[in-house]
Amino acid sequence: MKAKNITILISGIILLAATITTSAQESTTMYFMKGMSQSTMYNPALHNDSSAVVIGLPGLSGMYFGLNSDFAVNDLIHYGTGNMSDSLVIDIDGFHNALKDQNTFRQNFDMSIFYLGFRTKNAFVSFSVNEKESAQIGFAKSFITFLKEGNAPYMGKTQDLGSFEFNSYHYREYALGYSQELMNGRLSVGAKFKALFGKFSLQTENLNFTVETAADGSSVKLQTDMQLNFSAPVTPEYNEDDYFKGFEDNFEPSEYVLGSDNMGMAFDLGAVFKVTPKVTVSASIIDIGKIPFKTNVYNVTKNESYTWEGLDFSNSMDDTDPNYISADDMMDEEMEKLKAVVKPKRSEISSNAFDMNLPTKVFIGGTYALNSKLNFGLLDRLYMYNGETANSITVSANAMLGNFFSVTGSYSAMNGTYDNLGLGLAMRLGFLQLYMASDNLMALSDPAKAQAVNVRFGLNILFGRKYQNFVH
Amino acid sequence: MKKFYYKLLLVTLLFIANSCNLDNFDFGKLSDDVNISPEFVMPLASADITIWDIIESVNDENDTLLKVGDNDVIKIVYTEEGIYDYQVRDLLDLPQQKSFSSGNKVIGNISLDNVLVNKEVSLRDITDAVNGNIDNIIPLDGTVNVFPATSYVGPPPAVYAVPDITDFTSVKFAKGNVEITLQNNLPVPITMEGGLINRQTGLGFAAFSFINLGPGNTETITVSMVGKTITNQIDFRMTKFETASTGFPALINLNDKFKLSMNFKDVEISEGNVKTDLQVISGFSGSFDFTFEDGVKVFEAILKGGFLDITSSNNSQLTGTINLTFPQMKKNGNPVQVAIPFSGSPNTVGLSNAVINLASDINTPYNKVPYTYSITVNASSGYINYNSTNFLTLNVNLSNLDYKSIKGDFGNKNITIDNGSFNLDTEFFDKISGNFKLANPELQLILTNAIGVPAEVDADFIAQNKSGQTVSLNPVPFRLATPASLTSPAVNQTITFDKTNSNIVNFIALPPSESISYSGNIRFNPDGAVSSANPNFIDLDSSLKIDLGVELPFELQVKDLTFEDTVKIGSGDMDMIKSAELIVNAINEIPLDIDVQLFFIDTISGQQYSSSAKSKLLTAAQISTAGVITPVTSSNSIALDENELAGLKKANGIVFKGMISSPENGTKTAVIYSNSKLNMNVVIKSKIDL
Repeated sequence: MKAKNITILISGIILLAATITTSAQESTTMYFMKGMSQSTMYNPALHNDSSAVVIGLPGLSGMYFGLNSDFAVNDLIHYGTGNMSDSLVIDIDGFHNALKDQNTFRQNFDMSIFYLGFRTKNAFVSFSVNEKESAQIGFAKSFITFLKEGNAPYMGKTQDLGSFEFNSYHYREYALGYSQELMNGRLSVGAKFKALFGKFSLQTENLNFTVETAADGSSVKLQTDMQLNFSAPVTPEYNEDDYFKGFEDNFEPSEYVLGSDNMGMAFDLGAVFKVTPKVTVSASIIDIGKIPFKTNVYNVTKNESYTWEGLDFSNSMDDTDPNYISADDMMDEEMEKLKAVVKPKRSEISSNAFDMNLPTKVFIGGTYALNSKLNFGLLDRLYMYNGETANSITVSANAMLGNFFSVTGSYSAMNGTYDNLGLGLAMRLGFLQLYMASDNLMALSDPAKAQAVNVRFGLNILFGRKYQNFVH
Repeated sequence: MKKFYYKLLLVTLLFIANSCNLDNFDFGKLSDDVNISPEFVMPLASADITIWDIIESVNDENDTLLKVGDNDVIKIVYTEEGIYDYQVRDLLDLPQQKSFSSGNKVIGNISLDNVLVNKEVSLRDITDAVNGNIDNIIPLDGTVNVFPATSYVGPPPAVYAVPDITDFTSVKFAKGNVEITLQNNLPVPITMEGGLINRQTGLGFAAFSFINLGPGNTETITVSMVGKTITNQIDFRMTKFETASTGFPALINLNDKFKLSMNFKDVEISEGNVKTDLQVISGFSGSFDFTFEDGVKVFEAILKGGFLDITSSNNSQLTGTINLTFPQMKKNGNPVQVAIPFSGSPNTVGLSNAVINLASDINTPYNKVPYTYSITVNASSGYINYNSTNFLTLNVNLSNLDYKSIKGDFGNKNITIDNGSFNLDTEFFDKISGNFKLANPELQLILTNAIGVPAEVDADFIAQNKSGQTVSLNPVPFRLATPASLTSPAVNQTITFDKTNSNIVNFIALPPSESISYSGNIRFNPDGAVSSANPNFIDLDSSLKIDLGVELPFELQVKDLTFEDTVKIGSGDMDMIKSAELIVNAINEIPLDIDVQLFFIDTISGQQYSSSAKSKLLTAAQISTAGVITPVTSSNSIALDENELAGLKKANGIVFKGMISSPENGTKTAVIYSNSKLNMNVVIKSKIDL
């Protein structure tokens, strides 16, 4: 029966993972979750678990999937009304109304390769190896406005299609953490040094489009302003006209996995202060640092404009005219011009190192302990990346039942949505601890309406609970 | 307690799992209806062109008729070459062969060389013949005495035979004299009377009298022989012989003589049996008369080729040669001459480049070719009978005559211009309807004339449209320009029919979409006969060619001039189009308003599904009263709403109906200059249902 339960449990976790990997967000529920050693990822001074030694094995100790969007799928696709009530309709108007001026769709994936943490009397030392990947697409509402309305209502005006963002990275993180208990245990401070090795990066510094339509419609001008940085094991190739035509793939799996190029650094800093026996406050700042990409780097800078004024038939009337040009030739010329706007030339691609900043998170929170088994937490999380910020507030109830079963219920207000109920569960089975946490459990009931979905789950190997006072 | 938590965890996980609602991701239920209809505006084309550029672009091979005039006005220029091509050789039916006979040409008198016969008579002959009348001197014979006076007066006369004449046996003189000369070889003056007689008939034909002719003296008496007939045997009949006495002694010898000479001199005979002498008889002449059809009078003809064959016949016993001369038929400036034997073989003369003057006769100064001839009579070896009424006949045959040119009076000749028709061969008229009028159309006859004959051309042209309606041009007759001379080049002449001298405005306004037919005639010498001083002339290799030109300057006064064109359209994905608007922004120097209406049809059944509203496409440029054109900036559009688009989606063809009007609703004339500019851009504005 027990084995059967475990099978069911594992199946459930897999099912859960399978269903929410497509819609997840970085978890704040886990921040105050009792009995979880992963709390140090959010605050290096925060230790919710008192095990003497924590080991995470590759592929088991933790995975994180997160999707975060400024809009929900439901804004775009939902069931219709009336005779369309049984069909999914694409609702551009609704989608458009739901958008902010600038919108982002972000995806994150973290995987712990190795984790080792152990305690001394007043300190905690950890070492971890993680693979981190992120991809982010950003676009302005005005772009959708353009698609929705066209340019006809804007004759005589310039339509700013806004900034487009295509950011993506993959790096390996070697992190060495240390936290120290001070003031007789009332204050804990911690820091984590991270050695980062960039594998891949796509960075949009600038990507703007404007469409200017003449008042009489006689011209449509497309203006591009592009600044992209790129690092990958590829070599750009050019055609005979020196236009970029593609990449030569230089990908070597072993080099990619074991390579140590593009080294950067980052720091985590944190502190936990016990104000009263029942009230604890904490703060941290995560991922202060950057990765300077120097290897296989390419920079694309392109500022072009293309004005389409229709085909000029002035010299296409008489095919005996020495200056005659056919419509086909004119169209070919226009395509060449358009290609020049879109496709970078060799001269527009350089190889200068660039820095990739990490998304920096600031956590400020506090708990009130009702008793030794239950506390209530309030957490503010500030996300900063490339000048963009996103703030979320989470309240949670964190309980430790029977010293082996931890459960956290949370409510978060994030991304302008206020229906995010989170849940964290951890079960200790001897030296093994299974856990999962998500900030938006409601997304499961209607994933289409979710704007932020995340889940972190894994398995910890825990030994000893000698120093209970580290448990905040 | 642990079991409880396990169960709680399991229930929680199952709840979570079961609460997962993926219905919104059943994309099998996703509707195709995106419900987004952006409206895009985009320029399609632009052009900064002249109207000539437009014309060139739509100009198919048949419409090379469009030209630019000297004043830059565009015009349709149509040329129909050779609506009348008259070869001069067709104008006159000139004989290629002509035979003439001179008729019997009497030879007339022939001449004889002088015939001289002498007769000496001695005193003894006289004394013997006079029967003793002067016997008184007989005794004195051989003595020296005073010669005594003697006298004998017949009758009977003393007759002495004259030696026979060998030049003829008998002749009748038509001309000439006989000179009778007495040479007195006697020692005393003598007086003698007598005459010459035909021995056979005894008829005298010459009488003479010498009075007191001194010794040693000579005296001649001339007696006309005209009309007298003699034989070769004549006698000297002396009717009186007298001598005076010498008065002094002298030797008297009865053998002393006087000599009587008879010289027939400068004589021509009209008949006789003679030995002819080599002689040339000239002064013969005549003319051959040509006749041409239709009473054509030819003054001069120049031949490229031909032959003159001459034969003769002769009823006399003469032999000789006829030397024929055509003084008015010259080759290289020299009269054509030919010598032919009497009754001999024919002689042929080539007439290449011969110039024949047929107007040398004062009384009939045309169609006559004069000739002269002389006769060379050979000397006969014996006697031949000859009569002045003997005649010769000349037979002249002109063959293979190839005329180069003719001068003359060709008379009032009417030639009908064969009926014909042509099509202006331009699609322009085929595709238009509506009120259409060209202000200054012209129809031109381009004549190339090398015929030197005054002529008046009376032609008419009839326009016919597709409906069978006709309009006549009603042009006025016109005179044909002629070259100044035969050597002058052909005259090019353009006769223009315009609104001042014809009905051409209505003629073109019909319009002649089906055909233009023509007919007429050419009347030569409308002013009557011409003189040789100012003759008609034609080069047989020249022609009268009439080409036709139609010039239609685009000076239009049109109201809703409609043209249509149908294009097939494919079954493109037009379902996505909710509305469409074609915007034409233009700066127009062309003084024409152009409206457009589109009809969406089934090209097979002809069914019309829908149509657009009539919309202005181009706004006409303004024309001042002085005719100055000011460009007009306009922005016009053709919009299709959903209903019209529904028709378009069903259709497989679009009929483009264009309506053109000159300014001020077609009341003003629009002059279309080739360099009038049209700066335009075409913009499509369309709402697309995605």
